Amino acid sequence: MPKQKSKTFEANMTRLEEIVRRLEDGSVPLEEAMQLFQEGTALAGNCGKLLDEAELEIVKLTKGSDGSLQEVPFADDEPS
Amino acid sequence: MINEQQIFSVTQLNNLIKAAFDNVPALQNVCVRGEISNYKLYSSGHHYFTLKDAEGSLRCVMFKGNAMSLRFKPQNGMSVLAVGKVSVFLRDGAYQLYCSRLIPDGAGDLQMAFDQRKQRLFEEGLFDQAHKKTLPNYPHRIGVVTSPAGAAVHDMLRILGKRYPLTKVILLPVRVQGEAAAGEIARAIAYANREALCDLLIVGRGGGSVEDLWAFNEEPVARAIYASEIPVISAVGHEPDVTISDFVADLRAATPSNAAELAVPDQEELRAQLSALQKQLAAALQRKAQLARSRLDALRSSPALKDPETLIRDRRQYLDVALHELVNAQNNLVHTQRNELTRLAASLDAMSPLKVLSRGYATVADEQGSLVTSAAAALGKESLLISFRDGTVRTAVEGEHNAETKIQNL
Repeated sequence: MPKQKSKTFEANMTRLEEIVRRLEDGSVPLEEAMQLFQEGTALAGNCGKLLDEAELEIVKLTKGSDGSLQEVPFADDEPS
Repeated sequence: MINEQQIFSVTQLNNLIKAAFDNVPALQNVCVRGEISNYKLYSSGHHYFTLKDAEGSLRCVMFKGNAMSLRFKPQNGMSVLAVGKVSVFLRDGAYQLYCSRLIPDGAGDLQMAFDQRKQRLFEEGLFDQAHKKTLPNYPHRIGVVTSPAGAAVHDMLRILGKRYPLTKVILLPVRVQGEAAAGEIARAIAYANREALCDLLIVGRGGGSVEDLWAFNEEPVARAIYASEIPVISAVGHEPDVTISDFVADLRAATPSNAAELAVPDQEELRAQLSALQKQLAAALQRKAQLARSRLDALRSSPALKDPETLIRDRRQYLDVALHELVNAQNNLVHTQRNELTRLAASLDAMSPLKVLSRGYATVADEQGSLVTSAAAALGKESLLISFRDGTVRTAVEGEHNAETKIQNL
């Protein structure tokens, strides 16, 4: 699992938007356009998959035994 | 006559009067409304002022110990309620109000403190729009400075998880009310910046009384938010609650839940956006393919590709014409040359030896066919060949006929 899914998502999204702009520009040769289309479709699929599989990661900063702050998993057990 | 025993010293009389004041229960705990004038804060920390109304005035003092609880700064002209006891200041022989609490008349003292601080920080530039930072479109790590217990953090986590579960939430647990709260909140904000902990901060707490929310009006919190390199969303209380933090923050959320909504994109919208982008991709490619196809069609319908034989026929026709022209040219040339030949032949004919022969001349040659052009040459030969116009005869050489006779030059 990538460390920062949000970063990957943003990068994919940015690239996808760029691809759409290039394709809509019209000056791209057909062969390159088909490659861009394939890349864009793969990116969109990847973004959807990231969202499908994501689960919010929650940590809490707590003072460790040495006094420094450490991340520990945080269970949000407050009733809804 | 004055009875000696009835003469008081000043101190005695003042003490008597003071005792009289101190024995009136109504004066031990009074609340008086008036306007502050002649206000002085001494370096001792004691406050001295006069309360006035239209007709009278009352000396007041507020000692340092009581003044420490003041949330606002008393000012001349301010209408206040002063609570305290009335007693006598022996040194001056003057009665005065020993003020234990001072409350702004009308608005509460907290409101007064809020207004004053807000004005001061505003003037200092802490609320400047130019200083506000842009929030990230896709926060990768969100620092939440709040109490780890309670509904507020629960609501925020639920909404963040529902909208954008790709992010990571780092909870910085702090107390959000009481004496220590402001310091803890300010330190948590500073810590997040020092450690570059996240790319977005949410600072707040759930609803409560004005006093409960007060930490978010404190100056250390305001300054920590202002100093934060990480963009800050303030999320304090309910919709109507406004704190100093809200003014300093880069974005004010009405509630903690609202902060979570403002912090991250909604995955439903992201999915819609993704599908729209996919449609745009497909449409763009289709347009491009159509464009290519119509160009191909245009090429196909060009005569060259549509009916290649035309081209050959055309070329063949060109060839025919060229050949024809070539033959013509050649014929012309032959014709011209033939004329020339005829002309030359005529000239030549005029000079032909045969023509000479036909006029009665003959040529003389030896047996080898070499022309013999003199009598001297002929005398050396046994025989000679004489060619006439119509044939050649052989003749023998017998001798000189007449040396004098010369055949005349032709």
